[in-house]
Amino acid sequence: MQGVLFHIGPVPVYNITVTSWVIMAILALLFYFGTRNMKRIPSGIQNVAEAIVEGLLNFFSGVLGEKRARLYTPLLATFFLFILLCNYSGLVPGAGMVHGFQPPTSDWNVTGALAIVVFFATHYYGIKVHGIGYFKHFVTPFAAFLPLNLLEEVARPLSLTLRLFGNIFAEETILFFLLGMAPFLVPVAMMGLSVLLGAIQALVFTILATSYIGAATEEHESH
Amino acid sequence: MAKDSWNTKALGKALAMATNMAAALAVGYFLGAFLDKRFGTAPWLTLTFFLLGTATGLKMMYETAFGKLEKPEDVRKAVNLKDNLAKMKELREQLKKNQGPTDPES
Repeated sequence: MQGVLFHIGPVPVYNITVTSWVIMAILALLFYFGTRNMKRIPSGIQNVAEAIVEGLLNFFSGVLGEKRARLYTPLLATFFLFILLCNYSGLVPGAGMVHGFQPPTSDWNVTGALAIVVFFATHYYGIKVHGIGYFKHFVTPFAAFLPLNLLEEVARPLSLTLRLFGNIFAEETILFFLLGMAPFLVPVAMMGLSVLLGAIQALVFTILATSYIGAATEEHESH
Repeated sequence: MAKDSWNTKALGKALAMATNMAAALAVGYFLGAFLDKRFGTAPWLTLTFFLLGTATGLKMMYETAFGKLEKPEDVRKAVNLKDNLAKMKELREQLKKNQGPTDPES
């Protein structure tokens, strides 16, 4: 397979793996330096970090409610920031010149991994909140729906995978061919579109993960 | 903020519908084909699981649009042909009435 940069022992390391390491490092460093020396009145990096976290927390509170949003924001906000940076990494100036450089989310191994995390997180939180009663939702509204509900659980991560991968891969491919045909000024229109597209896809992945976790941890008529 | 997140939720739902349907069909078909190869029962399991996948896709789409099916009554309401036909007829009449003046043949 193409894109192998080097080997660690018998394990091949792909270009997208290295890109996602860099993105993880950027995020980790941003928030490490943002929270290392916290002051009451934020300034500099702390200000940026606080604005990001607070904005996302507010957004998730609108969907999940304040209490649950505080619990699940660490996971969901990480999804959003990681996917957003991955999508935008294809727009770094000169990115098209480096051979083999591509956004990690344009490979379906990466989006599949993210979707599998969502899959396990949903069921983990569901079982944690409802205990054994969580499995009751597989037979709602009645027992004949069991195969449909089981298939739905498998179809959801596949759907998440394909949507994110398809959109970013298509955008990258179009950009690649536009750069080949008319490198001057023409790809700018497509790049402008892909700024919008990258944000929307990151948001949609996060909002769907939010609503899956929200539905799994919902309290049913306990009042 | 609440309205904002509501809008985003609607966007997510709308974008999810199409791929959910496709993913459900794909899961049904490939699972059926895999099991058929395993047990040598082609084409019966493929057929069954493909239909199950289609049903799943339609169920997912219905739930995205109208809310979760919680009780047996919800299902009865969703599949009540007479009610749905009446509703469709009403909608068509309404559409006809709204279109009336601009229709070139009338």
